[in-house]
Amino acid sequence: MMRESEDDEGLEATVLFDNVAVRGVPREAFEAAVSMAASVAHVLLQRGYRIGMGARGAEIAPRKRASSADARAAISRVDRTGDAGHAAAQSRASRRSHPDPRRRPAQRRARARTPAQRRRRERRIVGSQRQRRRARPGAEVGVRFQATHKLMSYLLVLSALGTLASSDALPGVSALAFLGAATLSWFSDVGSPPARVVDRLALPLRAVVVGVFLLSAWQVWRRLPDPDLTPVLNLVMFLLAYKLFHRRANRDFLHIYILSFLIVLAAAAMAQNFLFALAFALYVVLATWTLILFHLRREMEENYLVKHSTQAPSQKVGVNRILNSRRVVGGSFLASTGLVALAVFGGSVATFAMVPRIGAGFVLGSPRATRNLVGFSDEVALGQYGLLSTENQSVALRATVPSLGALPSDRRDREIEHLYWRGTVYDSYDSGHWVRSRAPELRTHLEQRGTRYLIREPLFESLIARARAAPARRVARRECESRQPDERNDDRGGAEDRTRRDEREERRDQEEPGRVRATMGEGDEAEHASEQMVGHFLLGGRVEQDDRGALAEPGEERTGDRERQRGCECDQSVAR
Amino acid sequence: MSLGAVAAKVLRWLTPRRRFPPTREGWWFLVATLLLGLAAINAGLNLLFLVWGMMLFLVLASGVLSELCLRHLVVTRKTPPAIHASAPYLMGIALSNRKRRLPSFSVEVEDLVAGRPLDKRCYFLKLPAGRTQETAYRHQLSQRGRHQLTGFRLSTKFPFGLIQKSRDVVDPQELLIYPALVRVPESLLRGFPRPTAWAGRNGARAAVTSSGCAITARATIRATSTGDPPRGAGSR
Repeated sequence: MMRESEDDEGLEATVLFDNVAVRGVPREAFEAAVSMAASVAHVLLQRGYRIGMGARGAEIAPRKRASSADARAAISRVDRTGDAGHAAAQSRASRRSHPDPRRRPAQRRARARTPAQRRRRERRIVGSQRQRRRARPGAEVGVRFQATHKLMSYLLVLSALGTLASSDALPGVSALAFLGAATLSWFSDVGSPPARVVDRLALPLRAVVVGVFLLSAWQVWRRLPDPDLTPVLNLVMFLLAYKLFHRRANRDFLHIYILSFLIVLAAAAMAQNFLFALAFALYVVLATWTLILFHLRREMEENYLVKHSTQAPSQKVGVNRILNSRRVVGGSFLASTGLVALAVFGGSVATFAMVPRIGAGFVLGSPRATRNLVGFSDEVALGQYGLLSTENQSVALRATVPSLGALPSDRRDREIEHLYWRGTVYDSYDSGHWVRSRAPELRTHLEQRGTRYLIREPLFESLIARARAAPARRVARRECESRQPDERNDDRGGAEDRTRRDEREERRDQEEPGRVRATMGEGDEAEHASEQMVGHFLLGGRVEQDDRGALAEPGEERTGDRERQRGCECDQSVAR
Repeated sequence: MSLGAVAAKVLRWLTPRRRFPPTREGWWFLVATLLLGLAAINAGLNLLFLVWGMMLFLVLASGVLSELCLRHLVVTRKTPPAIHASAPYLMGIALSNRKRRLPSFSVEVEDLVAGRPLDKRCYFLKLPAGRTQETAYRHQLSQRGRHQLTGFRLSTKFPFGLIQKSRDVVDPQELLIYPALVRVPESLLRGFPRPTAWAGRNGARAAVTSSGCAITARATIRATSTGDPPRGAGSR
């Protein structure tokens, strides 16, 4: 309940708020009464009255305008218990036109209606700004923020390209095309004629992007399982050029940085010279600058939003002015952050130098060859050569042919010379590369028979079957004794074990010079040329996995995956 | 100052209470760093270790630079003269950089209510060394009465936007929220004429005051309550 009274002394009014008889009144109604009392006081204050307030527990006599807000303060503290609290707890100046003092200059600006007044006012503002600028001797006048960010982004891309060029993996035509596109894209700012052309061609360009992606994917897939990275690099550079033309939002800049980083990653995987370190140092400095500027730009665009009403969309107010400001970054900023970037590069060099190389294949089991080894690789590239390694002295194959062992040494040597051991077959040719066929009938399968393994090769077995159909055919079955390469399960096995094993193998060779045992089957000699061809032996799969590939001891258990099986084929059906 | 106090001060300086949750981009960056490290170890590529080191030290540099940004900042509150419930108001925030040389970039200030930040914040793009900048946030409170602000939260995502580092500043302040202002029916204001009208009629405010006219009458106004006829309010 509210009661208002006024005396006849002048412009005074007292708002009496009966906060006793409120039992049973809903809270909303009570709050509405409080608001109404405050509103009445507010209106009367605006009309020039001195306002007092009375309620149970507090009474404020009408005072002058500056103190009349105490009445509203007292009203604001009225609660349903009837206690109004201390009315004069906080003395505030009465409300003027708006609580925000910054609105007052705006109101004054609004009053400057005529053009002459506006010009005079603008001159005053510019003059005061100049005076303030002169009054701040430490104020730094730097470079335009937006232009600096753009320049740094382009330099970052070029430095990433430099790292790739240091690896000799950068295709010349692609690099020239990219540089041309990057140069043209410099002028494709938002709102510029090139940008409008790009916007008009957005749909065809996206189709071209999809087409290039599919083409690259097909080129990579065609070379599986030995993919060529050149199409991937071309795709990344194409996407980067597209994004440089399409610099619209912060997200586009982020894509540019990610694509540049992918180029650096590719370069790191392929480069092997010191030039990469130089290009990488430049990349680190530019990346630090660019990422800082990018972050500031994004923060500006996100924070300088003003919502003029709840319905209207947010509008960027003043962002362009700030983006073109020279006060955000300057020489000292670039110098100090450049030092931070050099520290980052130093840290990366320290990481490079101090992190121990635990070993290839430690985590995912896909090792990478770091040296040339003796054996068969999956691919033979014409025109390339390497150095033959003589470090690995492990015995890769031990075949025992008892019938040959029983022969005199001179004849035995002649017989052995006639044996044909098949190594591997490269039966597919593509662009100067011979690769192994992946046809199932040409692949080798292992069958465990007790402690021995039988090498099954469907194609050659079919030849054997045909040969057996002929009369007087004899097929020799040669057994080879192999050892289980336990150390393949654990590539980190000590060199000590390997040395002992090699010594043991060498001793065995010395003790049994004719230790090429053979288990002869029904036949003794081959009568068909294809049977001679069957006398082959596949030494192993990937050369990189066979650097310690000794064969298993008889009787040892074998557990392992296909790769290990390929590396330890030990029994072979041969025909003589 | 005792040795223990000095040690506590040094310890507090060395290990300031900070929150540094990664941003969404920061999580992506950390995951990429982890994967790249695994790839470098697995593949044994030397130069990948170089790139990995760069990513690790970018995270480290991010933590150092953000800490430099947040140190030696003093924030004060500029309360408006009157705040009414259900009416927007502007709360002024002044931030001072007490560092000698280094500016602070991209600092956000949020008011804390019971330790939790308000949904409004103030943003300072660049605060040069030794300078103070002011800005304000617009807010609205729905209830009258006392409103307790407990402090500020200063936070920054500078320099790379990977980590949002923040620290809380204790600065309690009580706001008194006036009741909401509603439209007052003219019937309630019967007998309280506008002074401007009197001034126009009588020429001077003093004359208006001395004349008394409508103010001589005593009036009792009954507030409206649920179910009351509108015309009955304010008259008796």
